[in-house]
Amino acid sequence: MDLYSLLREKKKTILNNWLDDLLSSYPPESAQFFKSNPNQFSNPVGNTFRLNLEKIYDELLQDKCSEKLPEWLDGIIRIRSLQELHPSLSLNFAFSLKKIVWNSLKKEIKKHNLYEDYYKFSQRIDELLGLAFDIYMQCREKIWSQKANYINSRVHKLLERAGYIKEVEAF
Amino acid sequence: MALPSARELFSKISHRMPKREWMDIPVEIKPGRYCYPANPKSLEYVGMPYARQWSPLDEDWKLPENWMEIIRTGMRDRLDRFRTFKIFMDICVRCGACADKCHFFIGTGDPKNMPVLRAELLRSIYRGEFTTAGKILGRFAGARKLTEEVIKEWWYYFYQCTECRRCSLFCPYGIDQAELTIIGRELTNLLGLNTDWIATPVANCYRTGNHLGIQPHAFKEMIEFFCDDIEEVTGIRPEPQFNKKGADILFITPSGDVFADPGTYTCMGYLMLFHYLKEEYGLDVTWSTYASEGGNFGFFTSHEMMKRLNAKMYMEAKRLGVKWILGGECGHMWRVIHQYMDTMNGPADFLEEPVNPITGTKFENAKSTKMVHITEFTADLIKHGKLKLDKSRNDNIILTYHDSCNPSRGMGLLEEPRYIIKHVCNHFYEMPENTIREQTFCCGSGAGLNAGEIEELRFLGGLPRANAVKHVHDKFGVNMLACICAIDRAVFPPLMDYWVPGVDVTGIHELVGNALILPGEKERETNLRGEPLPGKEG
Ligand code: SF4
Ligand code: SF4
Repeated sequence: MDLYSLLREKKKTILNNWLDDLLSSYPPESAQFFKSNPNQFSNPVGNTFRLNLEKIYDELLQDKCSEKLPEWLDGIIRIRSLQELHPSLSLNFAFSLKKIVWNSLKKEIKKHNLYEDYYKFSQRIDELLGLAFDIYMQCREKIWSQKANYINSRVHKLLERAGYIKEVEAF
Repeated sequence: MALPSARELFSKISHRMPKREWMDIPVEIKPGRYCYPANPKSLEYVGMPYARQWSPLDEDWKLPENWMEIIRTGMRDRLDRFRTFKIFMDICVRCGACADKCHFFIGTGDPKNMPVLRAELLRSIYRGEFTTAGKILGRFAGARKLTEEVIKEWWYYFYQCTECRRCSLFCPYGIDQAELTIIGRELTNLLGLNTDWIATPVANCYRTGNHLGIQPHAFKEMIEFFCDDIEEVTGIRPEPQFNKKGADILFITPSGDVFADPGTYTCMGYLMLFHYLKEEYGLDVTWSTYASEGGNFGFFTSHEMMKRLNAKMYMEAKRLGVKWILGGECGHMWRVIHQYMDTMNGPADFLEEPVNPITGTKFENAKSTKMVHITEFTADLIKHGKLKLDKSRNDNIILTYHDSCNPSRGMGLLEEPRYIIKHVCNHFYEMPENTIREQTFCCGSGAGLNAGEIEELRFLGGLPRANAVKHVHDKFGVNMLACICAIDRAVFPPLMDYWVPGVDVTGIHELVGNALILPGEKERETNLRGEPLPGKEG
């Protein structure tokens, strides 16, 4: 018995708990909507969460994560970084996987003495977290750079129109 | 799309009203979710009451002492004047069909962004103040007391609604949340609670003629810059006319087309079209530097302010003595024209029923307002073979089309833009059915919400739209999003940059301008943006 086969076996339950945990940060009626409407166009948030959590989970079970992993994380974080004011809340879902795996598998881990495997898996989650922070910052920086560019270009245009700017011309 | 029957609508409702008592959840005013309050000077300029400095984050909003009386009288007055308001207060059965249809709810997950709850914010006060059941039974009858907290909640959530009317499409009773938001905003305005993004454009428009406060000579200068650019690309310089008395047609477009990229390229498209029609058929169009704004932020303030700002269109048409008015690619400008202008400031009997002088087509739908949408006009010209077009010039573009809420849901303009697109562009793909036409998702920034300080809210509100664009971007390689609204053109570029990098934004008449073969033009090397045309990249 190894941890990875357990993680595969219990995939459905773990994913369900993981999604519920992520959705618990919303009021119940919103969480219910995000969870129950399966249409990817009328419920983009819920569907991105559901589909991408599964893809992230599958990646973590591979020996080596593919280059797709950042894309799946990005899908969720791009939304969460706008919804929540605090980074720790935005990225809570990445922290919570450890707790969820432990709660679902602790009996087996104890019984079969799988602590070393669990430790290794935890390390992968830590790596996931690092990646999540990078993506979170990219999202926020995008927002701020857009705001800055907007102001810059407005001011620049006004100065230009008023004839206060003369760019260097070639000789 | 045939509209579904009430029975069908009821059978499809999967989402329910919140079970928890929403009244118990206090409003939490979060930065990034509200626009800055109005500059008092702007309010004073147009004679709006209780202009003052105040902050939404402060405990004390400095309400006038008799604010309760003002609200009570204000509501009573509107219940008498607007039958829709009275009916919408009474008939909601709280079925929940509208609950999950709002892009702000879908994006933020804030239950008070469910249209049904947004309406309840107002309805609960209506019950408490104006119905016997509500007065006696209180909460049991869904009523609550009028408090300062309620006013704060109104202000916060009525300015988180873009008046897009998507929710009303799904309501078996046709309850129109946009109408309620309009009334809600009128009420907050009675207490001097507004947003600067709306109030300052209103004051500018009232004084100078457009939202940005651009003066007539600068307006003319900008259009002349565009003519320089057009000359550079085509070798032909349009000679637009300004304030010409006795012209056949007065053209009015949102000032965004004149001052904000990428709307400026759409403006060049209009200029090229008018030049072409003048050369080929002698069409006599004039621009106005006084009616230099099609948009109407008065619509986001009050019925009276909307009427005041709208009046200048007719007044200018009268002053110039034109036959009828042609309107550019704008969103809420068309909602105002289509739904309100005729009864507010019309009928414009001094104008003629619009007829396209080139094709002879009568624009029956504009018989009373005397104002024709430019996509109807251009589609009619194309249909009668009056334009020479080379659509291959747009071959680098893989296009999708966003139905801007106001022209599509507000006035039923669905086919004309698509008809034009198909004649000027070879690669066109529709987004999924439940995100276009009447069911279109809002850009998330309409109704005076396109302020920088609420980018987070706007990006979440724009997510359902962007998500559908992403789908066609991934599937068909779509790289351009077309729309017929100046606010769309202003807000989509950053929205796309955040959610779907690689998709740019265009108006329809930019595509027309690129495809249109002007008489005597030189061989074009670039499009209006100065990018090489297909095959000229080397
Ligand atoms: S009108 Fe549009 S923004 Fe307002 S509640 Fe309805 S769907 Fe939401
Ligand atoms: S507004 Fe219409 S759709 Fe929404 S809850 Fe009321 S009756 Fe139902």
